[in-house]
Amino acid sequence: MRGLPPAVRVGLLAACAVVLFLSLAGVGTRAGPYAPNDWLFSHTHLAQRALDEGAIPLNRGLLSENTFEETHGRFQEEVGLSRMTFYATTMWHFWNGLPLHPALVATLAVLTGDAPEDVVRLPLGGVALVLLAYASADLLLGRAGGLDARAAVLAPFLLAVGSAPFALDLRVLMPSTSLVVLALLLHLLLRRLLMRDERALAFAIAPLALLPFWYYTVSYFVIVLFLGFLAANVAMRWLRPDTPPLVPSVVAALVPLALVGALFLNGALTSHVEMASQMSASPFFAADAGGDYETHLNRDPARSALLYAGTLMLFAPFAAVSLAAGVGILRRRPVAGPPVVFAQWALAGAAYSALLNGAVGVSFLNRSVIYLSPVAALAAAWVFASWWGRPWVRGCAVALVVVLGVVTAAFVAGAAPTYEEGDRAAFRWAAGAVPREAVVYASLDAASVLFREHGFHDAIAFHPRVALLEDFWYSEDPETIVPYLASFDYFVLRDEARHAGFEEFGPLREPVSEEAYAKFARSRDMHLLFDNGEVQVFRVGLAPERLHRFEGGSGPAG
Amino acid sequence: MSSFSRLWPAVALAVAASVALLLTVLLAPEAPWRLPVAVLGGVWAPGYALLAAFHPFHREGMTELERHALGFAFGLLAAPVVGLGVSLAAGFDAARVAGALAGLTLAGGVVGLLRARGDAPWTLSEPPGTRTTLAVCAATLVAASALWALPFPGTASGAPASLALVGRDGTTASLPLVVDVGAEGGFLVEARAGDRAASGTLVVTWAPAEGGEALVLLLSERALPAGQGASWPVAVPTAEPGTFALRARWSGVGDEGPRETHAWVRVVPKESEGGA
Repeated sequence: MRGLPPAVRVGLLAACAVVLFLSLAGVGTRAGPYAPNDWLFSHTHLAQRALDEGAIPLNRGLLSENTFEETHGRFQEEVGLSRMTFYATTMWHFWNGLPLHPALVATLAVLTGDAPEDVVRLPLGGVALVLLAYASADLLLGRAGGLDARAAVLAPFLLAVGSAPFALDLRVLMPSTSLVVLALLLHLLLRRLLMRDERALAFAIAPLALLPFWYYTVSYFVIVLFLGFLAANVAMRWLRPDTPPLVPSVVAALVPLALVGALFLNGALTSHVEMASQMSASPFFAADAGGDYETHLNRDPARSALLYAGTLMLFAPFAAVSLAAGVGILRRRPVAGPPVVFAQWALAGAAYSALLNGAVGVSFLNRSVIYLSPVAALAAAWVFASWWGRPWVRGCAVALVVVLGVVTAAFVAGAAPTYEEGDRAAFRWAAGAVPREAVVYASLDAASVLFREHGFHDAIAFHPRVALLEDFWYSEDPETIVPYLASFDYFVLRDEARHAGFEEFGPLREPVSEEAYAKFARSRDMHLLFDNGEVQVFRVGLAPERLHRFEGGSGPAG
Repeated sequence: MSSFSRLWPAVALAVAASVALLLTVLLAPEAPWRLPVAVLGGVWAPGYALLAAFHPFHREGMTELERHALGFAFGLLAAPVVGLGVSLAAGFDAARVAGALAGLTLAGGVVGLLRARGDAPWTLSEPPGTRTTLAVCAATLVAASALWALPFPGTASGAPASLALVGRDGTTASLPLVVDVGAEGGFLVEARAGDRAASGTLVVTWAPAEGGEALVLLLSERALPAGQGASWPVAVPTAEPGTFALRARWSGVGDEGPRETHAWVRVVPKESEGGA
């Protein structure tokens, strides 16, 4: 058989990795109108306003007025939201200092002619990352020397199927699409290191300027990463002065300064420090918030086992290479350049995880796994490349891709919120019977659909505290929900809450018990107005004297 | 092959894609090919052209794989910046955004062609052979088809029967939850069959909230064909003050469980008007 040209083979392989990612990322979300990610209400609403009004809504006076107090009135006027609920506050952040993500959704919507609701389901960020993984692995293995560069093809497939959190996050056009900036940074720094490409640094640094206006958390990751580069430079000058720095110290110091400055100017830093200080005794370590994920994330043993097993399989080579490089540096042995890069990335990932968990209780599994998956896929390819010539090693690599693919597919399919006919019928009933201006509380999956598809723009969420879960959702005593009832008019309760868990303010909560579920119907403070076996709709009927009992206590922040 | 001749087909494709996008939004906005053209002409093409302009080919230059991957990535970053810029400068609509992206692609492509030097391979590493590549393609197709065909929980279920309690106008806003003694308190009980016909007993009762004998306000055995609904007006007795439970229970709805709704109605003396 006449062989295909290299260009065609490369194109076919890249396309295969992309197709695999698209297939896997779409599991469980193609059939139902539920959003693949519950927070999309914010981006679709702003993008829809852009299409309707002929201008992308944003705070045009950002540099002079950017605090919540100064701007929320103008924000409400521009985006058509009457109340500053928790959801509206989320949207305010994208209007105020993060216009680039809604702008991406709006731009793609206007170019494709599709509704923002459809456009956000295009996982273009994930596609870019898979393609970059192939290019980075090819560069890394092709130039590192002493390795079988054919193993490069492993990286895009590992990234496409290897991490459930990555697939869940990147399956839609979320703000995490800004991870493309991070992948570009990694690729171009490798290019600078391996190809002596001096222009690569400028190409790597320039897109970072977008981050403070796209997604805060990736900005914070980059700040930690560059501080890590700076620390590594100082350490390497002492331990291995012959090793060239990955990033010049001046750049490593200036990038965090510039990002912090930008975040300060657009009001993000102030608001985040304020939020952290509200949630914790110290601005950085919040016992309450940190405990939230520890106690409620992934209690289902089978799903937890899947998640941890998949994560361990993908990250083991990355951890091993990073650790070996770290030990080698400490013992002043010669260490190849790429493992030093992996080690710095790993160190930054660990520091960032600790900071995020301590400050706002977001676990390693929620953010850092997603941010580190591309470099973990590269590290795995790096490890396999050492023995790629042996058939059994290639067999192991294929087996790893298959096993990780099965694990990720199972996890992603189970993590997608189900949307049954009962949900559809109940939400339609609510749209006809419940006033649109009512303040509605529901688990995030239901509230997102009520907001986006049925115009309940005053849907609310509560600030993420363990007390909310314990008092409102998991408690079996109707009395414990009373302090929360003053904050909303209607409550929509999905039957799924007692079967598959729900997303309140983090993924994969454990299901509520039958007793906990039944307490809502037993409550004397709510009228049960609709029941179809899958969804119940309540109207709050709280007599003032009931609430007085709780005055002086620590009520919820609505 | 000279660098110019290696670069120009891709640049030409990028320019063609971005112009095709512009023409599509202007002349055939409903065209079925608009989505792929938008991704190619609105994301990949500007990114590829910009990269060609700022990082031209040279001997140690980027591989083609890098160029396309980085081009797509840069295009994804450029799209919102261009969208935002157009929105601020001239108003946000499809023609203006597509025009700006086409202009950017054309300018970047021309500069890239003028600056082209050297040559570059597709990849630094030898890609897998033809047989392996085709085997990967076949395996991917099988895996993607399997993932596509996976059943999703819940999508096969039919619409269930439902029971609702509303005010006389069919909304929950008009529910008479606080009623003066002697005043009229009118509710509407709505039952709807789901995908299957529903029969069963609908009972509406009225009882003191603190316990006591329940008064049956409605008893119906009416069967409902699939997809059909019915409603019953219910007037609550308001002669005595107090808090009462108005309960509706529809039992025997096929093999589904019973449906239940309730409201706590406060019947208050006329002089103490209060809101719920």
